[in-house]
Amino acid sequence: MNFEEIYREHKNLVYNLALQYTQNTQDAEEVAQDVFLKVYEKFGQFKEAAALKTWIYRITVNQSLDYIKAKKRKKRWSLFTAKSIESDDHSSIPDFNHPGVELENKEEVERLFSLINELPENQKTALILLKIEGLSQVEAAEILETSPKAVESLFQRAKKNLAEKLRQSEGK
Amino acid sequence: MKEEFDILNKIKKVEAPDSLWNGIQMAIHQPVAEIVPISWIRLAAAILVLSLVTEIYTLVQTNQSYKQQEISSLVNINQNALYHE
Repeated sequence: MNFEEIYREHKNLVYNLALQYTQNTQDAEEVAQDVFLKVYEKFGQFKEAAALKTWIYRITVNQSLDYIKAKKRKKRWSLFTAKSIESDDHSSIPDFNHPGVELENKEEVERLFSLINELPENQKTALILLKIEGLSQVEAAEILETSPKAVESLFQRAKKNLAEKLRQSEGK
Repeated sequence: MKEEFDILNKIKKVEAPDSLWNGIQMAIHQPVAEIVPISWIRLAAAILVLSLVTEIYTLVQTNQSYKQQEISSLVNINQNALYHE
């Protein structure tokens, strides 16, 4: 399998997963580009297609999380340099632009994502992989290099935290 | 929570944009910027410091031997002055 074939087979997987993390087409494209550059450097090491897919999933998760962290840092720095202390909430992503969300659900999904973005990274990943990507616990466990039990535990904690955040946001 | 998860489940998969492949190709083929490795910078700094230390040491040594020469010349003069025939 050459690089172009790998790209054709996995481009939508990578782009959509990056979209679930960044909720923005421009950011998702940047993440996807970085993912495929990493794949280009190391794809020769993988002989099994299944191992390659899991590995690509893993790189996409890590790359997305790194990208978001870098974006938050940049934002914080620009706020600091501009000496603006108007808003201290950096977790919500204001430029929501997710093409997979239907117009009628846009507002609700945007609100949900703003709360999901406040969850710890591993809980957020478990929720995205299981509930948005529709992967099984075993598949998610392989990507996160952990056990299915640990994934279930992460998901339960994510669910509990999200429910709490929803309650708080509705109470405001 | 079921209602919220149902909404998340409704998120559709989209096609990756065509510009993605072009961006990857450009990134792969663009020349890599030549960055001097940090080990080389450290080595150059170490050489500079070493040459400076050597220079100072040589300078101090030269100065000391010059002083010693000066003292010994003074001693010679004194010896001559104390000489009585």
